[in-house]
Amino acid sequence: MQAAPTSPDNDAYRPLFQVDDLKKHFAGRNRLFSRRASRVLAVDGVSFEIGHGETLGLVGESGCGKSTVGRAAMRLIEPTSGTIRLHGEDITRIKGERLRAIRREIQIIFQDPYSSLSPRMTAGRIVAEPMALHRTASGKVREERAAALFRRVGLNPGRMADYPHEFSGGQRQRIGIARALALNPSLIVCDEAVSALDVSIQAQVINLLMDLQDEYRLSYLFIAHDLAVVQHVSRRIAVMYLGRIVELADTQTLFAAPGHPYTEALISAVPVPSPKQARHGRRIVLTGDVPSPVNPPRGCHFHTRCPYVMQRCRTEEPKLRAIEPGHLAACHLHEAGSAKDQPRPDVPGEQVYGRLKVDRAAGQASRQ
Amino acid sequence: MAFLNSRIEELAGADAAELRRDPKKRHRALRRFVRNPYNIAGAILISAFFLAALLADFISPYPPNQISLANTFDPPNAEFWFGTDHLGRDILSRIIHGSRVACAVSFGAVGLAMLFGVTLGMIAGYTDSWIRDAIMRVMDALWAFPSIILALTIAAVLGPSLGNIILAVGITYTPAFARVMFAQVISLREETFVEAARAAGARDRQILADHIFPNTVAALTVYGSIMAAEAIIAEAGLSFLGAGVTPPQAAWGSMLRLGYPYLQQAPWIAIFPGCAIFFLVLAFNLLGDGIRDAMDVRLADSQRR
Repeated sequence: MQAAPTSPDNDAYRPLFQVDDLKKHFAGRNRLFSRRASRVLAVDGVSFEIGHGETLGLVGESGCGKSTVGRAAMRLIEPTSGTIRLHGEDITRIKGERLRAIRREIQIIFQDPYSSLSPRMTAGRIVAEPMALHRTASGKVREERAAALFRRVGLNPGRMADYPHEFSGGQRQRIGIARALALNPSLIVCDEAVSALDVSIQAQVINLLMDLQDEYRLSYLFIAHDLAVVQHVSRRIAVMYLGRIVELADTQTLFAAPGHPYTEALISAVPVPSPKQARHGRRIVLTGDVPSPVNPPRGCHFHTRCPYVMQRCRTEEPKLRAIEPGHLAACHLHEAGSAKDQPRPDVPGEQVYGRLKVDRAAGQASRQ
Repeated sequence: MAFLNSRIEELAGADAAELRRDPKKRHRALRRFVRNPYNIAGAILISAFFLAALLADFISPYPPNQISLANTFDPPNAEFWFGTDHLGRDILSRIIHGSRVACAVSFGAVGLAMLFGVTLGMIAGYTDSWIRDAIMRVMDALWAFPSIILALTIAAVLGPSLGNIILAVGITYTPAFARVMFAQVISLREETFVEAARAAGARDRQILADHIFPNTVAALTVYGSIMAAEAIIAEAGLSFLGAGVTPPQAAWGSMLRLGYPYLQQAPWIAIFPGCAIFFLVLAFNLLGDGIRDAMDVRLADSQRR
């Protein structure tokens, strides 16, 4: 389950942030006469790493656990098991003041710009608060720095005395970004940071985030359900389904040669900007809903909706493994074929599609 | 803030019109409050009673306990505006002095109940452990008693004095504030801005003080003024039943009790203290409604145009 190092531009690659086999189980409510308590396997063994200045996209449907990954990884909720490392230091179980110190390094931008700002605090105080909490700046310096942050995110510092409800949605999100930047973090978790915004505002905020990344060498864990947005900002993308990562690859590879049927379906669902631009593959429409994480399907979690399902998928859980260097996928299709883990040459897209087609036939055969 | 504004202007170089905050935006809640005449009436009534309590010694025409056997049962007249009681004491003077007890109990007891209730409710709402259950079940048990009986019991045990009445009424209304606070805290602590504060590295104490408490102030203010009205009735009830302040001291409830046997012959003895209770209770209710409407941003915006 070790994620292969994929960031090429560091000579000695040391990831900023590593998450290994992270699990978060929520205890379900114990019904009056039920024998055992139900558990919700919100996150069920997720591993990834993020390099310095890198953006890892995390996509998946609603309820697949991607927000839980973000929150558990930054210790906003307690992970059930697994390890989280920042700068190589294990931060999974640290508490109290040490955890507070780590908070400076990892910040978060929330989805809802309306509920994420205290309604009775002025915008200036919201942005200055993290600096006050960590005593990184005080008095005049803090006010000046808050004003500088306002300007940096494109807000008028003259409005620092205004309350959040006096700003628009996009402006509020900028306040949230300024707050996240206040402590000079190395990693920012963007939890659906642009999903609640209009498309035009989305673009502005995304560009702001990318500019800030270049400027401060920030790393992002970019959680979103919009594949197009994630493609634009991420160097690598992890695809989650029902609490697990089913595929993790470089953005280009993922779009050119998806290694998991679920990824393939997601990509096929991304709208094509112009009717003249023909869609590469056919549109794959998944049927049914995401199964409940309280009682996930046996074997491969995706087998209930997979167009290529085989007998084996229903019983045996596929492991997330490298199908080529830096490209991980959890699917039996990659073992079913004869060519196991061969480094494929030029046109990987064709090959995967080709192989998926072949295997699909095999799957149908096995179903009968 | 002044230095900040000047500093910002030079920093930003933005146009001045943008920088000046619209003065109309300021004190919006206050402006909404002032717009409603009922709110003004409530505020003026309360201020009047409060002033009367403060200046009782200067404005009351007679000493409140001055017995004048030549003037017993005088109906209202030019000399005694509200008449006299069976000992010839001036009712107006006694009402003015009685407002001291009413104001002291309404502010004191509500303040005390708020202090206890808010603290307990905040602890209960913010902890997930047995502490929450322990606190809230005790509050439920207290709340189960009819308030006058509970207050009467506590007052009877402690003995009759102004301080003890405040304590008795304060304890009686503690569960009310604890429950309001508990409800507010359990919903606020799930808000994203609280999570944001935690992510920024805020300690629990700071989250409670800076993020949760300020958002409960509106509800507490409204509830406080409604409970102040309740406290006045409770005090009057205690005084009426003889568990209030010790007899020669004037209290509206005990005046009501004194006038009760003479209701047919000398109705003014009971009617005027009754009116005093009525108007102060009414004033607190008007104030409470006014504050609620003024502080509710959604309601205000919909009424605006």
